[in-house]
Amino acid sequence: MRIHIHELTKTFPGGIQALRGINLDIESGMFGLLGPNGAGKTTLMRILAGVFLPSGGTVRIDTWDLAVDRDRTAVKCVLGYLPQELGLYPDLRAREFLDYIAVLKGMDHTPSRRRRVAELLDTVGLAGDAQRKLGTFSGGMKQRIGIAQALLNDPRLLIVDEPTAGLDPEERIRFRNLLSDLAGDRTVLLSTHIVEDIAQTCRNLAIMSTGAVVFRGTAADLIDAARDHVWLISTPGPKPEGNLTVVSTLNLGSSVQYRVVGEVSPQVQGQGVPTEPSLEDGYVWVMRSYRDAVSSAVA
Amino acid sequence: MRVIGRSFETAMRNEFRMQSRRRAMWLTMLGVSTLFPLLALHALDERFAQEGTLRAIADWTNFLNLWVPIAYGIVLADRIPRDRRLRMDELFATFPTNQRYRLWGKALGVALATVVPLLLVALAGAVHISLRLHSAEVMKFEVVAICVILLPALLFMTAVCLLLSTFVWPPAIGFICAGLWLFLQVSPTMLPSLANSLMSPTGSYAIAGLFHSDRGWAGTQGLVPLGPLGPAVSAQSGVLGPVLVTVLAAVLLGALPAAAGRRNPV
Repeated sequence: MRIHIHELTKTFPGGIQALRGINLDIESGMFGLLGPNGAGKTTLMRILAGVFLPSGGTVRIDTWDLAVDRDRTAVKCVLGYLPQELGLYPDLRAREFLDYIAVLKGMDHTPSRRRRVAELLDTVGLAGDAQRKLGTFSGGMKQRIGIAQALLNDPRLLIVDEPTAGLDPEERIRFRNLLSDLAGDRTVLLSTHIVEDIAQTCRNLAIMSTGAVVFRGTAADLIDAARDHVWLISTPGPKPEGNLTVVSTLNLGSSVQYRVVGEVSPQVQGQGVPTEPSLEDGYVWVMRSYRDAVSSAVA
Repeated sequence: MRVIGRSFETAMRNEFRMQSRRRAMWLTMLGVSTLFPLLALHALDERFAQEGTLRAIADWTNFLNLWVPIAYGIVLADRIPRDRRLRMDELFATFPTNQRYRLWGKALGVALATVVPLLLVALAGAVHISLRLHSAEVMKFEVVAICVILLPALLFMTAVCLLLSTFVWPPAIGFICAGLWLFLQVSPTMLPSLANSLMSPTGSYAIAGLFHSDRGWAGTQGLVPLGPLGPAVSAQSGVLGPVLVTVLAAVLLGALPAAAGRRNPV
């Protein structure tokens, strides 16, 4: 499915502007949406899922226009959505919950619905827990049930909002792999503020900040953006000064190694060794550049 | 049409399931509905013996109806806000099916589940009266009393509490429920209210018209006529009262999807 977003704005009552003229084209496959908390990712996801109506601009998903009621309903028929921090009903068993959701999604043929529920429980590795109450599930298991409910109608568009937040590393890896396996010819929109999740799953991505898209490209483009701006600085003294963002700190005993992003000042350049950027460095560089541009525009 | 029926039925079934599995619901409803009858057992027994079968049954059912709907309303009040808290409402908003049938199914499902402990207590009380009065007819009368006194009252509380929960802070609903139910039992000569009228959910007309008892009547004024809403007590008005209360509850429940949708961020 192809998503075309043009000059999309969303202003909430009270004048809070969550989205400010978003332009984005998204093709089939996994697409990552990165950004800090409050960047507008969830608002964009909710608009795409039909939970919110946009204040301005257009959103087209294939030939459907989200401003039109009938088109929005058509999109909902091919949509799978996993909201951020979905609580689930703790008193329902996994199978009962999925069956309930399947009916509400319009799957009224009982035998095929039951087959689909069993199939998805197997896909997400919870077939053995089908009769357990959701209240007894771990965070990772709940997220897997969340993705199973999103897949019930075999959606062509899958929207997952911050799915790995709060999961332990093993569960995160498991969930990421599950998403990658599911992508196939679907359009999967993954919103997160964890760069590693995007690095492992998405070729195409966008970065949002303060309601605007500040970067759009491939993961390789983002890494390239930070080339020649990432340094390793080993110093026995205090943290290097200057207009730098410290990405990581490694205590080596007699000295401390800092991984920094920025226009390294001549003073520290002597101690700094240029290094190959990672996706995280690219993200930090883009966000820095955007903040600098905004600051100078304001000044 | 089939999908609509399915949404309603599946929401009702699953909400019934969830509410039935809440230990707090059983403890609250059984605790509230048995505590006062057990405390007043001796006095009640004496009263029942004096009243005879028909009046004793009305008296027993009315005794439950005096305060149990308050606890019932409180137990129901968190069901709709819970969907918001669990972010289930956000998920439901992405489904192509109309959510109003799910909400009505939900209302009926939680109501039915919460009524079960009350029915058990009401029937247990009737068995006790039947043994005390040596009357086999008691159970038959109790079923009628439940249908015309208890169920309309509870349906009214279902509608009021679920509707309130769409815009009132859930812990405050308990106070509103208690206030409303007590207000409905205050004599209309003291405060203008629906008490002693056909629209009164406390069942005064059913108790008077069908069971020939004035136990359900608010205040000490006897059977006070209140103009068009308070016609003479008769078997007809005894049936009409519960029917009107049921219709009033249905109208309020009809507004539930619109009230819940008002909170929807779309």
